[in-house]
Amino acid sequence: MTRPLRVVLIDDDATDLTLAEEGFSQLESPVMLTGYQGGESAISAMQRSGAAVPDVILLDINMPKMNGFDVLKVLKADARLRLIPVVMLTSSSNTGDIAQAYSLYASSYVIKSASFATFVEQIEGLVQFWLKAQSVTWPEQISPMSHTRL
Amino acid sequence: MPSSPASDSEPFSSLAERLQEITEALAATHTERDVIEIVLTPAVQALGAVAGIVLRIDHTDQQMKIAGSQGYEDVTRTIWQEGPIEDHQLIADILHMHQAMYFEHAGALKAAYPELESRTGGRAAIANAALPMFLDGQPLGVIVLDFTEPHYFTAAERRFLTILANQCAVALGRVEALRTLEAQVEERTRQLEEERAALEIFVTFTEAVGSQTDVKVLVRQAMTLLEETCDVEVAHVEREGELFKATEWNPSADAALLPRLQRGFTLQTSGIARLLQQNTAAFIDHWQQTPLLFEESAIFQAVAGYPYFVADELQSVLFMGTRRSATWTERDKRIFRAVCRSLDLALDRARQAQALTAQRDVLDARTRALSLANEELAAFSSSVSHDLRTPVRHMLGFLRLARQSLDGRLDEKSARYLDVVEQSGRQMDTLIDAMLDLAHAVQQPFRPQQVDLNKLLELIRKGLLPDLLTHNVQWEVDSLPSVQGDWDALKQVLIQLTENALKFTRTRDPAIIHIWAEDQGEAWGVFVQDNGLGFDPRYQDRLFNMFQRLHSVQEVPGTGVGLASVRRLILKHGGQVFAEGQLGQGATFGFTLPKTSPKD
Repeated sequence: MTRPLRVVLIDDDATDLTLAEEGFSQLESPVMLTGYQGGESAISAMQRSGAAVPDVILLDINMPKMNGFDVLKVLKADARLRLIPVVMLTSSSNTGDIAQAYSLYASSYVIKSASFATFVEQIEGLVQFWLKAQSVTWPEQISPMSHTRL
Repeated sequence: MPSSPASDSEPFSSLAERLQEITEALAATHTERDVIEIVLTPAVQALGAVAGIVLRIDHTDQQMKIAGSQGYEDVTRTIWQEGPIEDHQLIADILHMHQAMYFEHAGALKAAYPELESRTGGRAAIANAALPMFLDGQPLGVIVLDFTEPHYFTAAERRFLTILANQCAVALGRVEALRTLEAQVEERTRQLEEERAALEIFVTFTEAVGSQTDVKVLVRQAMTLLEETCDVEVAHVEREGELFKATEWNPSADAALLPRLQRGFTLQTSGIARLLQQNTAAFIDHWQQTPLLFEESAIFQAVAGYPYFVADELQSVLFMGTRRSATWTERDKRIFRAVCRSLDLALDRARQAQALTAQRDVLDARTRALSLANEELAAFSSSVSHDLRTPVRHMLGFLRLARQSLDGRLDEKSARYLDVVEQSGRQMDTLIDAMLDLAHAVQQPFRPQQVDLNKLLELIRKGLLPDLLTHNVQWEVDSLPSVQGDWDALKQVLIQLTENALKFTRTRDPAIIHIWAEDQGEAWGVFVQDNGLGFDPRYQDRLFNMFQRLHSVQEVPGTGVGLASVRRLILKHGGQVFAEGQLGQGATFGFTLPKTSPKD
C-alpha cells in the first residue's frame, strides 16, 4: 500500500457532497476524495491528459442536465475511463434504476442510508472492498496515456 | 235479278275446300285482325261480294265495334256503323233470333229496315248477307257481306257462310282466350316481379336492421321500403315537447303538407292519435271523412301510423298516406306492420348500442384517467424516493455531525431536543418507505396463479418475522385453502396482517394469533385474529385508509400504510377486506378472495 485510495464522488447536491466529505473524513483508512458537482466537470477533469484517474468513482443518479446514467454511458465509452469501477451511490431504491445501472456496467449499487452512522458504515465498506480488490489502477498508478474515444 | 247459283257461285264441294283452307289458316292465327282477314277474304271472293265487314260486341258497354272490313272505299259511309246494339235493329234482330238474314235484291233490306239508311247516313248495298256469331251461346258479333249485284244465296253458300261465321266465332274466342291468358300471365309476372322487388327491399332492410345503428338511416330505409312496396307517401315525426315534428319525409312530399309536418302538430284528440297513444298501429280508411289530424292531410284518402314508445311515452310515429285508394288492403297493412315492427326492434337495438357506446366512452375516459393517475403515482413515488429522502438524510446526517462536534458540551435539555429531532427524522424516513411500498404494491403487475396459503404462511412465519417474535406467541393456524391469486401480493397481505397481529399483541403474554379460512361458496374468507389492543369499532371504517392510525406511534409503531396496501391488493383480486374489534379485546382482520380469478 503506497498511497491512499483515490475516490471521485459526483453529486449535484452541495450538501450531499459536504455530508459525504464528513463521512469519508471519519474513516480509518485514508482516502483522497475529489468531489464534483456535475458529470461534465468530472468527466472533463478525468479526461484531461496527464490527469490522475481515480481508483473508484461514486456516482449519484438524480442530477440536473447529465444524470448519473448519462455520465455512466460517457465513462463506459471512454477507452481509459471505462476501466474504472463505478459505484452508484444514490437515494433511489427504484428497481428500474438499479437494473439500468447494472445494464450500463456499474460495478455496484448502494442506496444511501438515512442514518448518518449507517451511511458511514456503507462508505467504510466500499473503501475496504476497493482497497482489497484488484484493479488496473491499484496498487500502482497506471501511466498516463493518450486516451482515445471509442 | 238475283244471280243464279250455278253461274255466280261455286258448288259446296269447292266451298268446302275453301273452308278446309280457312280452318288450317285460322289454326295459326293469334290476333283478331288476322282472324277477320282470313275469314273475310275467301268469303268475299267465293261469293263474289264487293265488301265484307265484321262487327263485334263490346260486352262492357254493349256497343258494336268494327273489328275489320274489306272492300269498302270508306268504311264510315256504310250502314254498318259502330254504336249501341239496340240502335241497329237488323243486328239486334239477327243476334236475338240466332239467325242469318239474306237480302237478295235491291231494296229488300230497305224494305225490311226502312230507317237504317237515314239513321246511319250510309247506303245499303244491292244484296247483303248478315250472319250472327255466337260462342258458347254468347253473341260475339256479326259478319256482313255486301254485293253490288243482286245475289241469290244458294243453300251451299248459306251453309258455307254459317260454318264460316261459326269458325270465325271460335277463332275469335280462341284469340280472346289467348289474349286473356297472356294478360293473366303478364299480370302474374308483374305481380311476382313486384313481390320479388319488395322482398329484395325487405331483405336489404332486414340486413340493415341487423347491423345499422344510425337511427336516421334506419328510419330512412324503412320509409323507402314502404314507398316502394306500397306506393305510399311516408313521414317520420318525433316528439318535441307537446308537438310532433317531421324528421324524415319522402322527397316528393306535398308542398303544403311538408311545412305543416315540419312545423309540428299535436297528437292528442283525433281518432288516429287515440289509437297511436294506445301503442297500436292505426289504419284509417276514408281519411277525408274523418276529423283530420290537420287540414293539409286531406290530400290523402287513407292514412296509417305506427307509434314508437320510449319509456312509456310516445316518442315518434311513422305515418303513411295514400292518394290512390280510400281503403288499406290487407297487403298494405301486413307490410306496414312488418316494416314498422322491424324498425321498432332496430331502433331499440340502436338505442342500446348507443347507450353501450356512451358507457364505453365513459369507461375509456375513466381508464385513461386511471392510467394517467398511475403514471402520476409512479412519477410521485420516484420523486419521493429521490427528493424527499435527501433532506431527511441531510437532517439526520448533520444532526449526527452536530452531536459529534458538540460532544460533551450538550446539556440534558438540548440533548433531549436533538433526540426528538432525530426521532422525527427517522419516522419521516419510515413514512417515505411505507409510501414507496404502497406505490410499488399498486403498480405491480397482477399475475394470478394457484397459491397454497398454508405454504405461504409457513414461509412468512419461519423467515420473515424474527424481530417481532420477541414475546411469547401462541399460534393457532388452521388448515388453509389453495386459492387463485398473485403470490407476491398475497404474501404481502399476509405479512401485513400477521405483523399487525404481532405488533398489537406485544403487551400480551401469551399473544394468541388465530388464523383460519371459511368456505363462503363463491369465495374464500381468510381471517387473522389476535388478543391484542383491539380498536374502537367506531373507527372501523377508517382502518384501511391511507395513513390512518388508531394508535400512537409510541403505543404501536407503524405508518398507517400497511392496511391501506392490504385493501388495495385484495381489491385487485376482486375481494373485500374487513375488520372487527373492541378496544382492549383484540381484533379480527380478514379478506375474501373469489374462487374464480377476476381475469377469467
